[in-house]
Amino acid sequence: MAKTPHYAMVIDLNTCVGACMAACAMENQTPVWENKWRTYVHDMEIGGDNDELIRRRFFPRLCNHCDNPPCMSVCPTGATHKLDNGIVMVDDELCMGCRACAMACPYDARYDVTYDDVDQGKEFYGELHHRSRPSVDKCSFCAHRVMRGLKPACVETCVGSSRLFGDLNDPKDEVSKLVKSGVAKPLMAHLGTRPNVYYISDIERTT
Amino acid sequence: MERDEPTFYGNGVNQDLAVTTRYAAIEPMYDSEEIPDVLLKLTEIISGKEEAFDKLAGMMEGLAGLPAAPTKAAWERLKAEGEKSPFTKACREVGLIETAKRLHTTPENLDKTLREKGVYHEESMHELLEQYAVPHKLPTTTASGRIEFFSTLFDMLRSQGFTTPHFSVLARPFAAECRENKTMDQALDEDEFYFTYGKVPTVSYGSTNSNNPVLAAINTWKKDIYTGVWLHPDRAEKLGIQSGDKIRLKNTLSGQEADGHAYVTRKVRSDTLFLHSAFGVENPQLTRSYAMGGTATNHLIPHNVEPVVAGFRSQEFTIRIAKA
Repeated sequence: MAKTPHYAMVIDLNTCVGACMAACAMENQTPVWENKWRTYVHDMEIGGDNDELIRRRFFPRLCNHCDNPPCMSVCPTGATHKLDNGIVMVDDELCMGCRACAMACPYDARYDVTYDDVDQGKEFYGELHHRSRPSVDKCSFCAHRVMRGLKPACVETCVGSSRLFGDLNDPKDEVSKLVKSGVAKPLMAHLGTRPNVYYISDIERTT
Repeated sequence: MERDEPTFYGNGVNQDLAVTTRYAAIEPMYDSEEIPDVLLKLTEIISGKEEAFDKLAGMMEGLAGLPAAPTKAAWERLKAEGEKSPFTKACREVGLIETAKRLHTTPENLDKTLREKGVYHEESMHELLEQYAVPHKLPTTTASGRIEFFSTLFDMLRSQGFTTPHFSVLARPFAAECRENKTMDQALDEDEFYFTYGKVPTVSYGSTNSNNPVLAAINTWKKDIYTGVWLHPDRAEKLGIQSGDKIRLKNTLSGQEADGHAYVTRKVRSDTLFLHSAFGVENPQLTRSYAMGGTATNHLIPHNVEPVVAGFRSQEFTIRIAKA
């Protein structure tokens, strides 16, 4: 019997140009008019004080779908839960909006969707708008797409093939290989959250 | 982003022989129409409604090989069906059929392959080299039978009277000229910079997609980076300029002037200003992009055309800045 997948994302910072925010917003109908997104792509200056080493770096940020998610531990209602395939989900029906998850998340991945946002969303996204309740929302790895055999919207539309999505339980999967090789590394691993989003930095790329 | 390209063409980035085209990613906004249909209407105004289509389609047949007769038939049918941009759609439809015919496949298969893979492969680079590579086919077809770094096209143009050094038959360098009576080696004044510009992944200047609400929301989040005039901190400090300060820019060659806001960053060279070319929209109907502000590059770049390919010399000048 095939092993249950363990989904993860690898992001190659060498080829990111920050175009995925729009695809994610359209797919997941986030309140962009309030500057609330499931994924942010920061436009950063890296390299210290030496002009020769300075580079522009696009840095995507999203829920890390941790194997030890602090947002889930602190959720008093069980709204934040983890699927067998590793995806951390939020049940809007159970979320009471206490924001404990937002405070616990070291990746700043949680944000409020309010009643006002739900109302405004009907206007903004029109008849296709699917959200009916507020919650403290976050990226779901587009679980609704993944369950249909599709990739998350940000991966599907990534123009630089910067974002890769795959199964860590499949040794032949490209994502699995990159993670195993150590080229792709998680953020703030020392916190013990065991994240499932990995980054390839330009330094790693050259080694 | 919002258009299906009217034609099918060679894949320019890959060394394999392949065909590609563009598929629309988002719906066009408002009552915007495709460029070929706009050009057809302009041709109707210039050449008369009766003759416009035949003239334009005839020219396209001559230049791009798209057959005029089936394109006209498709255009008339699509017009009768109430299609919004019937000429563009007709070109696309006939282009797909003709390209598929050349590739010995069906239009359906070509369309499916392009949608799924982005390119339709004809031959790999290695197959091409096997058949056409010069080392296998010597002597070459040049006059000497050897490889010549010589432009027969420029040689022909010279015989037609294009005799300035730009039309040299051999590759030759031209020193950039950014200032009057000054070489590139001479130091810039304290308030003087070279100029360069680039794109953002979210909008094209003047395109209706610049008013797309989701893209506009991304731009708003990055407003300082996207709409600001990038300036190195060492130079900014000397001029007493900080990020967000309003500045006045002046082209030292053309005299053109524009306002902008400074974005102080080490991501730009200290001798150069950088600007994203997507902003400074002046059409108030594009409410979101109009509200974004920014500096339009056409207020700083003069009509200075390069004589060979007629491209704009869009960076061959310097700009002086001052706090406004």
